[in-house]
Amino acid sequence: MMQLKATVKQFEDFKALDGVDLEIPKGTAFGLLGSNGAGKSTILRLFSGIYKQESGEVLIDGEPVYDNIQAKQKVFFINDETIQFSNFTLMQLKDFYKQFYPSFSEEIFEKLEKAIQLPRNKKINTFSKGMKRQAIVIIGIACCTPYLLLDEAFDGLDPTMRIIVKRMLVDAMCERELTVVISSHNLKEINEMCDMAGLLHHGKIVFNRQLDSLKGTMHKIQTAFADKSKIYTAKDFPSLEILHFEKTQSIYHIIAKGEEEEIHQALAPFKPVIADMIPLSLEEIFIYELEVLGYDSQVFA
Amino acid sequence: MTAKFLHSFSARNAFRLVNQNKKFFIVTCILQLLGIPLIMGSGMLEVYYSERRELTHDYSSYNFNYEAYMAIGCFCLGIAVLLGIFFGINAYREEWDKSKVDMLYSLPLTNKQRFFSNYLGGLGMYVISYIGAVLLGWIVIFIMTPLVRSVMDSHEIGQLNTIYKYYLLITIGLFFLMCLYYTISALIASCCGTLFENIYTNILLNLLIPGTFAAILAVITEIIDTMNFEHSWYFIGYTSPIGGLIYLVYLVFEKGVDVYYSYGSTYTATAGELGDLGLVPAYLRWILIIVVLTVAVFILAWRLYEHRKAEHVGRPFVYIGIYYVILTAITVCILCILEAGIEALIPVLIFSAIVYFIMEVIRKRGFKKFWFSAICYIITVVVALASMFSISATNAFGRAYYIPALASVTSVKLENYYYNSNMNYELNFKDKEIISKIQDFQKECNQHHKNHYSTQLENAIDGYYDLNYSNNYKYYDEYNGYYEYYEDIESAVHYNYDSGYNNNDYIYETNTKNRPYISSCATLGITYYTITGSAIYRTYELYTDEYINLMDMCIGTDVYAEANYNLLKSRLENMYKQYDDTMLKYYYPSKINFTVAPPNTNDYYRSYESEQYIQIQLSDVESNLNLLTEAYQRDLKNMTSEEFRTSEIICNILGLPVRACNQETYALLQKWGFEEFSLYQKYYSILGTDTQKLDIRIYAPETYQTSSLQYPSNTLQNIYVKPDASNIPSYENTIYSIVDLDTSLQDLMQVARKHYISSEPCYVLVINNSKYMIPLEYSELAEQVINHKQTNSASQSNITDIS
Repeated sequence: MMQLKATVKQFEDFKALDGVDLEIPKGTAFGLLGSNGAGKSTILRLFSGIYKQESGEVLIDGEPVYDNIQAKQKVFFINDETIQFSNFTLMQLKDFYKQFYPSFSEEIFEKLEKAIQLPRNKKINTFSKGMKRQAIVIIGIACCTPYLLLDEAFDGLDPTMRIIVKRMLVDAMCERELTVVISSHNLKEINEMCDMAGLLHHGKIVFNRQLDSLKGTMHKIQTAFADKSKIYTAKDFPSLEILHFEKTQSIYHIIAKGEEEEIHQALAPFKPVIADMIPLSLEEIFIYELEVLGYDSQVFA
Repeated sequence: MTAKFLHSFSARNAFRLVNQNKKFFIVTCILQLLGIPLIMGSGMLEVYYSERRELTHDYSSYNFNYEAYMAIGCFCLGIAVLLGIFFGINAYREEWDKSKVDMLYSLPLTNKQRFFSNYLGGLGMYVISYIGAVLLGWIVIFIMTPLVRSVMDSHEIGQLNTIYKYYLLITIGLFFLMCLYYTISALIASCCGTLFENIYTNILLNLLIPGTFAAILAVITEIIDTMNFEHSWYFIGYTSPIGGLIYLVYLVFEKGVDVYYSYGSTYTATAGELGDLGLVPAYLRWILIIVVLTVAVFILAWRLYEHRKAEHVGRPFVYIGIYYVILTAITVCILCILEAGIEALIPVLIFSAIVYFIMEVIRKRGFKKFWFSAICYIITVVVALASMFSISATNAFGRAYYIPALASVTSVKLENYYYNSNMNYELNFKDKEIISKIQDFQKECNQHHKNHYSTQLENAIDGYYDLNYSNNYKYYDEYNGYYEYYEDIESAVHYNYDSGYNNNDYIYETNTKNRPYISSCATLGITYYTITGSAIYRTYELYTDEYINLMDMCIGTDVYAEANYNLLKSRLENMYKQYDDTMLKYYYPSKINFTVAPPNTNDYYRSYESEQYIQIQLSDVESNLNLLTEAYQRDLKNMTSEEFRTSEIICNILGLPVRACNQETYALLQKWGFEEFSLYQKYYSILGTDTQKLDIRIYAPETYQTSSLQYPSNTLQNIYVKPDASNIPSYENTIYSIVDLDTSLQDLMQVARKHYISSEPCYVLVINNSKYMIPLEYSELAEQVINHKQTNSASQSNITDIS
């Protein structure tokens, strides 16, 4: 399990993480969502032992990560940069990492390398951005660490290669209970890949839940009430945690948190003529959650 | 198994470094492998060619332009060594290259492993090529050795060992300096977060460490005249790679090693700073200090690295302290220009401000908080100027008059720069009793220095005069025989510097009885060698009293006799060697000559018509010269202080005085044919040719004073007309030829002494501006000459009243 306990990380005057608590159970695919500068990459760097927290704890399987070889050997971090050891060939890069990760699997490497067909003996600085990304991903998977951290993992990959890489990750997760933490702005991919997600904003966790339950606890309601002469506002529904409230002619569009049944019960006293519950996409959840926190896409509307 | 695996991570990271810096490494290898064997090989070839030249006396066929090869070798080696900073910078690439930081910091390595593996990886790459090149150089030397031996005389074979020693000291010394140089760049890598700052901090710091020390030392030694730059700079060799390199070159080339010259002669330098420590112990001490410094820098680098964070990459200075060290050093170096004079203050401040603010703009990448920079600049300047003032006011915090504790002193070297340069010698005392006396003597010198010298004055007018501008000052131009008056001494000195003034002219106050301003008769250098191996040097200008007190301590000691013995021996040997080298032996097969000069001849290299040649049989040169030197040593051992002051100098052997009291030496010279010099011979250099004009004056004792109270009559230094005296000589005559000298004057000249010191006032004879004492016992004779002159004054037409 990966854990952050009341973790604070500060860069001079800027507090990147402000007392964050987070738990990522083993074997999950965890999506880290958040606005720009929210602290996603900081969390990944803390888990990979690059950064040291100012306070709190950063633990992997109960062990602190920073300056701890045993813990760091359990983590492989692929960052959003592509220029890494550019003087190496793919095989040299493999040999280099192999020395540091005792669980490195030649077999997996050969299998993945065969699937992707990267040039083995060309220097990495001659690779394209996507090829560099593929190279480091297959090495990361072949290192067979229990935890794999990917920062903007699919950036630079073509659609076919995205699918291949995703399959590789999924296979690894299925085969050896790999925990994958993906930070991305591509919510569709998170939606497809992850079973858990955490949303960060201004260095704080907004939510951290199973994606399914997340989708089940937030709904978009399209409703109309019998009394058309009365104009309702969000304040008229105090029992609902409303994130967004909008009226178009006689139809009300409400984004609210809560179970479907609870919402129905809350609306019942107002005698809704219609009350359609529409599940939200991850993107919508992201937008509406952050809108509540003042991160509003309507600023320029 | 796991532990072993983990420990090998460092090595693997180091191999990564090698892999990533392969091209750089190859370039260095080529430069090193080319440079060092070229230097060592061309040196050996030159020895071979020079020996061939010596052997065959064919100076045209065996020419080898080894300097060009040496220069190429030094160039290659120099570039390779300088590249050390880039090895350091590249070894810690993740500390300044954002694209590398994530992958390297996320590797399963602890900070310690990463730091050490980076350090060792970079250092390994840097020095391994050097070690390889040195080994190759030695292989070249050993291959060439039989060739060189084949053309060497059997007695010269030992010189090959000198060459080996020479190369060994240089190569080992350079190795440790490279380690220090590299470690400093590792320290800088820990402190800086960008490539630009890494490079420029490296360059500046390496230049500024020795530069600032040198500048500060120059100011201190300028302000405080008991301290001397030439004798104090050595500690800079312990502070930095560049300083160390200078010291290494000094140590090996200038001190102790018999450096083999291409023309077959050897050169043994004097002990200097090393004292009786010897070259190898001094070298080892230096190496030890460099190693300790390297370790200290390394520990500091590690401590700073330990507290460094990954997110510091990209920040110009992670530890701002190093930047302020550089900035302060630059400012101090610029402010040290003030040594040239306080009038340069404004330009120096403007220049230092410009440099300071340029540095600040570079660091801040703009003009953020510029007011803060201005405040920092003001503080830096005020602190630097206050420090300089404090140094001046406190005599370098008491260091100017520092005398080490007797228990800590192993030996003392006295260097006596007498007015006669041929009599300069060094005395090395180890006897604690004498050392204690020397310390007491130094205390007196310190007291005198405090009482009679003002540092402000010395700054203003180059060092010898009191700051007392209130009275009229008189300058006596000896050559032209007239006085000039000045309102202040500064004008007098400056005027007369411009017109070729020298210390032998007169400047004195007209209305006080203070000591004259130009007063010293000798310069004394005292060097204490302590048990820690350090050397503490102080220098003093001595008055006659002090000089005599010093000589009282030295005369009659074994050390004094031995120093003079060595001096005479080396001069005689040198003469014999020159005789041997110039093949004179082929033309004068049976005898060699050495010259004995009249007492007033100072320069032993010059040949005078008045000199006498002493001839020694070639078959027995060595034993005869030994006889002479040993006799001289015994004479000096038996000489008393009184004899030193008053005994007449009969002649000089290669510049060393033989007094009437040195009976054994005198007898030996007489045995070899020496005859006492005639008047003409004795004063040849003054009298010159028969047609030369002679200015002769005799001054009565009461018209003169000297700077010394205890010894008012001496020729060790200038003699000054008493301010309240009439200044008119008792006797004055200008004649045109030596043949015109009357008999009584000739008699007086016979007894006049170039060297004579008496606490009783004496008559002084001045011939063509050269002063001679008339010993007390001949005062009557001087009186007679004056009286004779006065009775005949009416018939003398060449009298000039100079008053």
